[in-house]
Amino acid sequence: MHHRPRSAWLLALLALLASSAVRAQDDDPIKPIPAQTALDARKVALGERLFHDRRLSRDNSLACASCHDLGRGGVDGLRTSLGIGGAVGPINAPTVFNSSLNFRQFWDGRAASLEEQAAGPVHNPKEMGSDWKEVLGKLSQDEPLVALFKASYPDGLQSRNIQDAIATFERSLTTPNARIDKYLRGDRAALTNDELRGYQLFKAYGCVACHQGVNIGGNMFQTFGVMGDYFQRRGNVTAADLGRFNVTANEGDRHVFKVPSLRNVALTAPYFHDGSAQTLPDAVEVMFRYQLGRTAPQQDKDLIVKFLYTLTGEHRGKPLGPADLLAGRKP
Amino acid sequence: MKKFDLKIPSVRVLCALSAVVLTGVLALLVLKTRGIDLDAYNEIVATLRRLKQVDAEWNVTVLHAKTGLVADYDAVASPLPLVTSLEEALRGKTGELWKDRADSRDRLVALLDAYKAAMDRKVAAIERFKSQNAILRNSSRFLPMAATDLAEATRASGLDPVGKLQMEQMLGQLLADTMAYSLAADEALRARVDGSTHAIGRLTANAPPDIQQRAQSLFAHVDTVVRQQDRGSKLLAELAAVPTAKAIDALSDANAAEHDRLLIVQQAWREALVAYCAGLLVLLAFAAWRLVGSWRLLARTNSALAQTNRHLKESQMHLVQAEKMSALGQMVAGIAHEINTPLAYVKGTFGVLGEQLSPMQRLAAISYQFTRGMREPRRDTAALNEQLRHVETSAKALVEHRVLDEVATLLEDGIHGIDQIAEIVQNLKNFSRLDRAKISEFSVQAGLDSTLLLARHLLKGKVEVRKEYGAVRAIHGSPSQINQVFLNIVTNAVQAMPQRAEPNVLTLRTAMDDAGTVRVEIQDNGSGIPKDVMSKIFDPFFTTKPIGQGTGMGLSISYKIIQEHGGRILVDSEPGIGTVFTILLPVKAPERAAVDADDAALVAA
Repeated sequence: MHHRPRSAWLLALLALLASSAVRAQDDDPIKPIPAQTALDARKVALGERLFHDRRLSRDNSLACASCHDLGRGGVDGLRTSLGIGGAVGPINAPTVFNSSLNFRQFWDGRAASLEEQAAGPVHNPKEMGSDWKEVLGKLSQDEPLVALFKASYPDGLQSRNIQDAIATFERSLTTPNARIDKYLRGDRAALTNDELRGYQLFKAYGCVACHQGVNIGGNMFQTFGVMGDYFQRRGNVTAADLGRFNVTANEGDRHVFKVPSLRNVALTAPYFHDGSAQTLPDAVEVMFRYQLGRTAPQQDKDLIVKFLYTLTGEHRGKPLGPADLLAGRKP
Repeated sequence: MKKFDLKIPSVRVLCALSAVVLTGVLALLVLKTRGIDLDAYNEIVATLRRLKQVDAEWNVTVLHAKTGLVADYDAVASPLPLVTSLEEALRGKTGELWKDRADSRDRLVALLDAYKAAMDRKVAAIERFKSQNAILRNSSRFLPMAATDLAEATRASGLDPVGKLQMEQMLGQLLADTMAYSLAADEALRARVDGSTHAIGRLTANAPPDIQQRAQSLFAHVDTVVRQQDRGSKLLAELAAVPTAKAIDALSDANAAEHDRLLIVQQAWREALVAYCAGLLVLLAFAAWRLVGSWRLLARTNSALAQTNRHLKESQMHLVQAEKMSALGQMVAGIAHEINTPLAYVKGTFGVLGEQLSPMQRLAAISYQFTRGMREPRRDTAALNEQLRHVETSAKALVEHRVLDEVATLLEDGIHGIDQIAEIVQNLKNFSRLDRAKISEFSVQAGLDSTLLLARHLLKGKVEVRKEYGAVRAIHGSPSQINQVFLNIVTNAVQAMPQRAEPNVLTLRTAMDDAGTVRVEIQDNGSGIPKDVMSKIFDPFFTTKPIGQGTGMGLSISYKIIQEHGGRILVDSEPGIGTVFTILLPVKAPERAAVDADDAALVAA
């Protein structure tokens, strides 16, 4: 009597394992961006307004968009960002595009959600240097804005609603339809031969061990310098270089960072948390040396760089950021 | 009955207090038996079930990643927000459901904290696992390539053939051992991996730099595989040991236990509430029974009171009647005295008049004798002369003594006396105006005067009356009633004046108080009214006179009469100095009907 259920369970497990194995064979480690889930258009619009609102900073000089320029791939193109009064920030601004696809926010993953993240820069004295009380004081003078809050939130203008609106807007900032996505969806002509070769090398060399999933990264932490001490070589170690250690105080988290998404990576130079790599070839070079612990022919690295250009997606139906902006972006 | 007397303040306070306490206990019981929020509890149960499922699935996902069944870590990362939101939901619902039961809530929150701690450890372990697994898989995959690379480089180098062969064997051994270690770590394998690594290191110690570099790369990856394998084993063991599932089960069990406890406690409270309500019902019934009793008593008392009141009214009517009779008696006494004087005078006059009649009778008799003798045929002259002389003498005496003048005078005097009596009778009629309409234009001064006349026998020789009359308008009212008031006050005043050397003075004043009000003051310099009595003088049946001499209704009736004329009666008294009664009467009383009605009633009484 008891045999049947048990054998059935065993069979089901086997079937599961078999199907998983079969799927894994032609399973691409990179997934296209799925169709966006429906967002409240009013909240998105309100969030966009707030995202560009300089009153969120103490001296009304900076908005979210100041460092996350939607016209420049969602970054400021600086090595590390500038805060109010020209204060030089400790870390490179990560792109706001596809940030909703990251499993955590900030380089050290200290924010679990976009809502939580939005409060960070507002309060950081080197960034916007303000606080909610001050911001609410300023925004409450703006009657049309207060009315917009009232329309979207029962309790109107509140700090958590500011965070919610900004986060909702940021959730709309996914960049689907990159050429890699088209390729993964079956459009074999979407990539050139070189780019396809680059993709294969990207997988073969093991870049994909960390840069995988929908966001091609952004779903795990990794030590910067797995196969070599990057920081000893670079020197001048800052607090920001400690990475996740700053959050957990766990020795195992020293120099551990969130693996950044590679989507739109061609637009987001300079690279790494310290902005030390000016170009994609530079960044690829560092990754090979310190993360993979391997050498590779220049040709392979070039092909990988070519592949990285296929990760630029579209925002609101248009290809993201002018690619030639890169040419003029020098330190 | 006495025990429950609500008029006793302490009993009243006790009753109010027990009502408050009874209501309070009822409210407490109702509060305690409030329905359990089954929705919140069910949500907690569902959330815990979901959490357990997510937790279990997460383990499977991790194992999938470990075995390479999935090519990306999205599935490993994706439960994070769900786990967070489920925990927040749990905390919220737990706080909401157990907000009134701190001990239950604290127990559950402690378990939630334990769960959170376990889950945090699990999350941290999974984070490390992802990093570790990515590195391990990369190095494991690269290892054969690195070994092949080194072998090929060695083959192409100038190393002796034995060394090359040895090298290849060593590399094969190292590769096999490392891969085996990466699948199943054990100490022997580890030792062999270390041995091969050292051997290859020795072999390549003097090799060209490119070979050395390749060897170092290989060693680095071998080392990575070994280290990450160790780490991975530890992480998986840690993951397996993290008691998230147990913590979730503990939470489920504790929630169920608390819920059951709540149900039991609530059942007990509900029973208590039912018992309490039954008790209250009994109390209510008792109260109702008492109420009905009280109501009956009240009805009985009420009818008894009504009867007493009726009797009282009858007595009052009798007393009013008696007062009237008393007033009448006084009046009659006064009138009798008044009439007595002229009557005695008339009587005396008539007596004198009678005495004057005998000389005239004798004159008439002798005159008749003389005239008859004169008509006789045979006259006796001598006798006639004698008779004439008698007639002459008698007539001369009558004329000389002016008897007839005296009689005329006496008659005049008699008529005067009778006139006086007629005047008294007229006054009496004026006083009561019995012959006229009850309501009429009426001068208070005339009223005072006729009152004085009626009271003359009281005043005469004892009291000096001073009149200080100002010009006043006639008032509209009942003369007999107002005069009754005046007479009552004047009588009281005279009675309050003791026999003494200094003169007793009664002063009557009239004046216009304002355009519509007449002021009458009756002032005496008698003994005054003691302060303790002052407030009672207008009370019915109050009297200071000996029993039988006063009804105590006089001033009470006076007060009522003045009140019904729309006026006021005031009294000011200083013991030993005197008393002044002030009567303020409107020229036109506000409500004639009331006066008429009461007037009729008083007359009827």
